[in-house]
Amino acid sequence: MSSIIKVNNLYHEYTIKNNGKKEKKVALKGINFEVKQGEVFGLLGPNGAGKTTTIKILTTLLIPKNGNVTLLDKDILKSPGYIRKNINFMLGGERGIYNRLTPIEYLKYFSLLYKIKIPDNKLMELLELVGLEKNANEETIGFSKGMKQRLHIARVLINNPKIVFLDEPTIGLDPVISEEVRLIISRLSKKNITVILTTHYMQEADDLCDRIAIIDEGEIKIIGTPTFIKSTHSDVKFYEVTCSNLDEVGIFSVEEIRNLAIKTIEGGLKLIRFEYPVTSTIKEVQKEINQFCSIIKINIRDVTLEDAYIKLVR
Amino acid sequence: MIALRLLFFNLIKFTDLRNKFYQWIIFCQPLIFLTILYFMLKVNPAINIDKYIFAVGIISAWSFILYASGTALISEKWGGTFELILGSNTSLFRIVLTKSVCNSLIGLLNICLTILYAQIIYGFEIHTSNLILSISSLIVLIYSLISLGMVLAVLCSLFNNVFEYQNLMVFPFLILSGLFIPVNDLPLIFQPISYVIPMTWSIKSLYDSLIGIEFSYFYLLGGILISSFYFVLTYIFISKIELIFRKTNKIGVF
Ligand SMILES: Nc1ncnc2c1ncn2[C@@H]1O[C@H](COP(=O)(O)OP(=O)(O)OP(=O)(O)O)[C@@H](O)[C@H]1O
Ligand SMILES: [Mg+2]
Repeated sequence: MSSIIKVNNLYHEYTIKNNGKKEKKVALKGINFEVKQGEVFGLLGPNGAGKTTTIKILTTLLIPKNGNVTLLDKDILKSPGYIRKNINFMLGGERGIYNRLTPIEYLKYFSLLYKIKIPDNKLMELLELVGLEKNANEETIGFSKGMKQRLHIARVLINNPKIVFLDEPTIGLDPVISEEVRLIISRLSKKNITVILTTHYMQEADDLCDRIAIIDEGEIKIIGTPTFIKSTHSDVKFYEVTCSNLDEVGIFSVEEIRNLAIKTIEGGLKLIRFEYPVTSTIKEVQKEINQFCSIIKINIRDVTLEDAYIKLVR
Repeated sequence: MIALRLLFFNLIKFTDLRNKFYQWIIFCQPLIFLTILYFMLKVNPAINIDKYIFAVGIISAWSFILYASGTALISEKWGGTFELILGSNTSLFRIVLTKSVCNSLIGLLNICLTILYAQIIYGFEIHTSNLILSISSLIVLIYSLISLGMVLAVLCSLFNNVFEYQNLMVFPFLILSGLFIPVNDLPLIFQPISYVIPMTWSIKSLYDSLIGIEFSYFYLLGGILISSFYFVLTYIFISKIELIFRKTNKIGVF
């Protein structure tokens, strides 16, 4: 399958004012990636990494200082009109909604801006998809964050886009609503819509994305499937031990134990978390730890995307 | 067709008639000025009432446009919708134009409402020496107000605190455009400014058509030309605003 998005050497810098003096701030240092049709592609990275900048460039909202980007085989600088017609985006958060309009009116307005005629029942279907059908004729001014974000998702689908860009679609949402939004997103990819997603929730990225790029300070650190990214960090295993009589100084001196964290829990017991090389069996680890405490319970867990992420951007 | 539907949508959904300030401008302000006019006429029955009835309507229309069109572009930035409409399939110029047309139509409604008030409540009789010319002048006036609305939308999006000056702009503009005193009676240094304002031309033309002094198509044409010039100018400016935004992610350069 050919790539629907090709990003080549994308470089961008902003001009900022510092103490009244103009300064250049590099946001993207020449990144490369490709996205295939129907993929859910995640952009992860710390605050200020360049995720939103990337999305703004790809959605023609921002002209990059350098590099090539093609979407649907068209250059973003040469054919912004064609691209705008065939993509859509949400920039996360509660903004971007006209308070006095109802969801139906809001969608209708954007259908006019996208120059397409959509019958009311089709608009209702969109609202049903995001679970807002009961609020179709309510003013959006009283909407909660979750409702607004779901309305954005409905808007994003108004022009039957081939690619949608979702910048932090679950930001500030409670776990239940987030789960609903994730469900909606996974439904999109089933319709063969390509989804570019940014998020700070690793579990979400792991659940939703076919592939992920982790960006940090304008550079892509790693790109691949969640399984691949996790596997690159499978040289350690993660242990969680509940124990008593802990010799804190002693345990810190063990060379193989990395990223040790100690927490006091009920009954004066301690909970310790650490990483240990995979080459050792659980028996060996148990023996080692036993020198410094009395083990009550020992758990071992697999590498999560979060572990890999933290290692990559630390 | 889509353009008309967009205009209709703007008229019905985006005209904020629940805004108390707009209610005041549209429905109450004409009553106050008409009352003043009523007593002026009592004192001096010789004044030309037709001209001033239109003037009252134009005051309200202008006040409404100054605020409503002035915020057309900047309010999208405040609300976070600017990027969404920019990224859509309709050009920014067209979106702002639709808003300006919409506000000018409300302005026209304002003038009509004033005439209605004048006839029904105050019992004024309105005469025109040439109905066709008066209507033509009124159409050109609306055209001028649309172009002026575009200019306002652009200006207010560039400067952060234009709103502080909007109140100060209401009456000077009206005086300069010859609404109360003929432009030729204004101090000489102001006259060039007057003729840069597109309304000036159509107001002169409207007044001439009402009073029935020798009508000159010069002002009618002048109004069309200078307004068209502003359309071209705002088109260039809005394209620039879009380009600057796409380069720097900021609206407004000052
Ligand atoms: N309009 C702007 N003007 C100047 N600098 C900017 C602008 N927008 C972003 N930046 C800078 O560019 C860098 C990348 O920002 P960007 O918004 O792309 O990060 P992000 O990955 O989306 O972060 P977050 O997770 O916080 O949303 C940051 O250092 C930011 O300060
Ligand atoms: Mg961001």
